Amino acid sequence: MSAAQERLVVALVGVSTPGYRSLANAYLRESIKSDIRLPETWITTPDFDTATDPWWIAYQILDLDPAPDVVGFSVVCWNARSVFEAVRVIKAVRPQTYVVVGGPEVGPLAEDSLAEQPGIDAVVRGEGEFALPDLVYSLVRGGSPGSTPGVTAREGGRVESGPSRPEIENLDDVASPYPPGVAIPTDGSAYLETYRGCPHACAYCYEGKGSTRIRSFSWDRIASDIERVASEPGMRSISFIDPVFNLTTDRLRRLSDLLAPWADKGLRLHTIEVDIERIDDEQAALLVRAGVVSVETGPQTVGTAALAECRRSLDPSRFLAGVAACKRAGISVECDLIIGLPGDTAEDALSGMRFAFDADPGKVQMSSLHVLPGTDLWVRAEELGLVFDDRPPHELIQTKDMSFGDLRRLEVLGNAASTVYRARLTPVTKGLNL
Amino acid sequence: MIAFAQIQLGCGETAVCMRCHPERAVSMFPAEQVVAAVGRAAAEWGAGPGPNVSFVGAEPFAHPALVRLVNAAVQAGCERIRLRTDGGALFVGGNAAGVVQAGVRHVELVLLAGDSVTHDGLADRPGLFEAAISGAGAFTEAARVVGEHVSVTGLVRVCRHNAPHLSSAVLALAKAGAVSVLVERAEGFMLPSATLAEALRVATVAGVALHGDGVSPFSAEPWTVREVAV
Ligand code: SF4
Repeated sequence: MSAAQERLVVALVGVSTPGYRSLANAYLRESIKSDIRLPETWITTPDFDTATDPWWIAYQILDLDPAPDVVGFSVVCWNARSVFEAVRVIKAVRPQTYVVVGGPEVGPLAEDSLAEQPGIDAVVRGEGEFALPDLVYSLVRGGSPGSTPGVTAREGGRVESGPSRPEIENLDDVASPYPPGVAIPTDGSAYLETYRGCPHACAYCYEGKGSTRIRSFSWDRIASDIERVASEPGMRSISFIDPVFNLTTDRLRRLSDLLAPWADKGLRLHTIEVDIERIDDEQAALLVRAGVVSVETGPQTVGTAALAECRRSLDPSRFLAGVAACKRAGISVECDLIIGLPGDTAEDALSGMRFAFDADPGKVQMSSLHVLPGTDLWVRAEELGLVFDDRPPHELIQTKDMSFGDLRRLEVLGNAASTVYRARLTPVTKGLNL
Repeated sequence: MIAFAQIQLGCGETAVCMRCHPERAVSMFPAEQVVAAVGRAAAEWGAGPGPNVSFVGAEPFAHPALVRLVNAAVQAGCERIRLRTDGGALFVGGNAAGVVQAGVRHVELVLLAGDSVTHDGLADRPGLFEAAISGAGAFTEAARVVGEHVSVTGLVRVCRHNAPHLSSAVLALAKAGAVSVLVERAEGFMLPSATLAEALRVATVAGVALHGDGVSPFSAEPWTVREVAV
């Protein structure tokens, strides 16, 4: 792009799990659109899934009319390889395109990302809702992108980093991703969040990032976002990305109050993340009232050493009581296990599987650890003896306590057991018979 | 982890090595007896996922009352119903769709080797290998059509005649969609550890959990078996 341009065309490209659309890009689009300094900016947010060939993604971006001056990607470990490949092709064809990336895969490694990916011009570190409009504004007026707070960018032959940006204090200052009057592109479902941060700080997770601080949207904002999404024609389900949906019973009650009228009309909430140990019959009833049909939870591991290493806790009897309360209420539970957490032996992994299947939750999902940038485990990997692929999605290769072969055999065992567990007659399917 | 109650349908296991068992005689238990065993298995089921039953002991598609037996398992509240089969009948007519419709969610496919010449020769059943592989495919396809989750697992009975074919049998089962394979040694047969180690490597790379006597401890016990007398 030229040094300074009044009018910019921005493409914010989502590369998401099949069936999902990028919520991050919807936030960023509305942040730019609502920025009074950028009235002439034209934005598009094409969505692709991770199964799409990166060359095809590049083809469709390059085919946009008008051609984008700025192309942005939100990068997570799952889409990073696709994004980097698409960027390489886009830059080869149109070198003047300014490529900016953000997200957990690149934000914590901004300088490394620029060093390793010559096609990337700038990296937004942390939350992008104010950093990206500032960067775009800097491009419009021909300023210095590398001095933008929260941004690391190429400046001539150098890489410059603007000062860090504090977390957004008042989340209501962030423009809603679902403004009134704008149709929500949907296949019948949409994402929402009611707060950011997590009350836990699990060492393998980017969400906690070492802090347990919670920042919530106001109840007015939450109510208007729910109203906006739920009233969209054809909307059948909402996925809340809150790390813990049942943060407190009071909060759950308020959410349930807001969602119940829509649940009565058939809106459903799927795979809501919960702290299962807090769920009793009262909470389960509130979840049902809110339209929740399935929840997702740990335990991730039952090994005491790994729990301590990852700053997690597990009270097996409360966990089982929570699963039982959900099942009594007709809510399906997905139990997640991570294979290869530091401190876990293969025997611990087997104990975790036995615990999860004995709980008979409905679904058990197992996956090997991914050592993600910005997490405590990424920083402490060497000390903890974690050997992992430094290329995304950063799969675990071996640990101090589990050999490469142990991990692979546990993966196939986990997959086999999950498949056998999942293949069953349910009250619904039993109606098929006879 | 996940237990199955094994219910004998009769005598004369399906797809056995005919060189080891040249005089194999097949007989079926009366349906009433099997139904009663299913009822007991379900009634006595303790904690954990289930009740789950696995029909073994004779080729299920040769049992004249298979539909009735599966229906009895459904009526008894069984969540997982498994057939141990040589797979030959699964590809015939609407059998695959029929058993899925009836409530079968698991098929344990028995192979003796990973190629038709060896398998069919040892089983003394020309055409059985191809039918078995096609049958497993028909079963998963029938489930996909009605949106049901099913699983295919495998069983390889190893004796001195087919031991060198263990790995190829595992690979064939993997290609047929099996997520796990049980290795069962013929009575008194010592399976060379190198053969087992090779089969474990092949299975792991193919994404199959190998289990059974003497297999690596992390591959053992994806599910346990409870014997129920008929
Ligand atoms: S794993 Fe879940 S509970 Fe733990 S920090 Fe991440 S979001 Fe929070």
